[in-house]
Amino acid sequence: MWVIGVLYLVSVPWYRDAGGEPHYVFGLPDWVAVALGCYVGVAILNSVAWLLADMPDEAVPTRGERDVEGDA
Amino acid sequence: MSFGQLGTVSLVFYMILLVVVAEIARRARADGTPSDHFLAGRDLGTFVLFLTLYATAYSGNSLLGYPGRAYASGFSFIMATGFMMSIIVVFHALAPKLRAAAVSGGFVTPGDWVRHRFGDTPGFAPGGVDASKLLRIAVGVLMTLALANFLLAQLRAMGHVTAQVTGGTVPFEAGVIGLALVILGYETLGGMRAVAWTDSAQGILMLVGLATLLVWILGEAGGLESVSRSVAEARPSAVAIPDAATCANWFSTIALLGLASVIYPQAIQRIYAARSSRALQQSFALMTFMPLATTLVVTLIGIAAIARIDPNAGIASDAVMPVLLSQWATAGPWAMAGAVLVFLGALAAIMSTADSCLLSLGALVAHDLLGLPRNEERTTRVGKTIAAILLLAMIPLALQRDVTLWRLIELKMELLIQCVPAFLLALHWGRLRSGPTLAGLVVGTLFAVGLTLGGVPRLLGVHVGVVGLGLNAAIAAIGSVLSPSPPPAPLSEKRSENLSAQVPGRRD
Repeated sequence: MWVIGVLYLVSVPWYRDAGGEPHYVFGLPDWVAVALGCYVGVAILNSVAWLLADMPDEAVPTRGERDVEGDA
Repeated sequence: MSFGQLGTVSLVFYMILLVVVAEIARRARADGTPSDHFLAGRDLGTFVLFLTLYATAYSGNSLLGYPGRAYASGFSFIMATGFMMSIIVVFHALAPKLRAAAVSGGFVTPGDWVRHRFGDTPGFAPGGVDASKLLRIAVGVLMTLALANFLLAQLRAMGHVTAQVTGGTVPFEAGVIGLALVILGYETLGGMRAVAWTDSAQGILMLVGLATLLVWILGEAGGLESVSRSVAEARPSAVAIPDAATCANWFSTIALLGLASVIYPQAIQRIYAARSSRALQQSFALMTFMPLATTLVVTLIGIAAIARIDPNAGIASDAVMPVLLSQWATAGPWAMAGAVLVFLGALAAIMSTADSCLLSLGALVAHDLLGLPRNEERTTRVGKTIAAILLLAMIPLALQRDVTLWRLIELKMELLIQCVPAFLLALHWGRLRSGPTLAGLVVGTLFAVGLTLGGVPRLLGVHVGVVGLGLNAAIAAIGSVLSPSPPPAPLSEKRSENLSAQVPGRRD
């Protein structure tokens, strides 16, 4: 998950000089290509994370439907 | 055959298809309980679940509003792909624990979680008021307002698209009323089954339509690089590296959309409606790629429009996509058919979001606000009636034409995001208490709505809803820490407590 966080951080061009004229990479302005590359990375990692997630289907055992919060 | 005639014939066929699917769904229902009507008997498999999540998440705003935003903002609207993807990332914090609790407690609505987590006993609130009940009602009211807001935007969009796809044969007003009645019909007949099955057809239609349009635009412009260079020539600021305020807005929008969208009532109900956790996981694993197949595509379409549409022509942002499609339709019979397909795809996106909102609205008001039991057929009947009344009441509002789709969706998110601590924080932090959570929700909502209505939608580029959420969460956390600790449980209860400890803060 922290890799996804880093990718999101890098996807926003806050570290570039505003207003500068970009180079073109794969037909896109370079900062857009970086953002898009990050999002492709997020998609792949997130998809794998979902498939590997531990998500049990069994019901959590409870003794009744009405549960009480621990407020005093 | 003209564009309007082809569009009208296609629209009629599409409506007939929806009615047939609704009738099949009606015959497939097991009983009239809320679980069967509002959650399709908790039996949605991976394919249908994925497509209904997809079609519901991508609304009229995604297909008509986003190209307009991209046209106005330039390449910085690539942020939209990021914020749509962030929703599926944030679901990691919500879905596993919420689904476990939902399976255990037989939840039907989001309010069932709040009741399950915070209970019904008096909490920390002035005068011994039942804070947990007030919190449940407050969450229900915010979600109802947000859903109603969203539904209203979809109704308006339905009118616009119907008028465009039929070349004016079906006017805006008739489109709003006619399609609203079609949605009401299939939602009432088949409930979540009809909604999910029609969503599946609508999702496929959206994907095919968008892919076709993108291929046409890129093909005609001579490729992506050619589009970028012609955009740079037409409007240099559209390709320039964005300034600090835009970057702040970029981060803020990712936070706003990522956090608020996971607690869409209709999304939460789909977590409940999954046949199994595995089906839900596989659906989310597929969903994470859909921003690349949808949001990125509409963003590129909007950006390509910068070089195609004269900025002095006075085109409203919501009209960029229709203008592009009108241009495309004149390129020949196949292009005309493609344009009709995209219009129908947009209509499908709008209707699939509207039907999900309507279904959730009925369940929310009947169960969470009116307090009707979640296992009786009476609740289903009342939910259907409420949905019908709300829809009919919204039609006159939808016929007003003075608000853009984008402003409507922003207002919805400012409200919805204030419910986040009652879900995400409550799922992961056992000390969270109902009274401080309620106080935080009220303060955050008043802050965000007050500033938005006062004409201040952002502070230093950050949405006021996100700032309000910060205040909201701080109040909930500090108040909970300062609240007296719960009395220790008797030894005999310790074992069962451990068994049910997947959801923090609960005690049987």
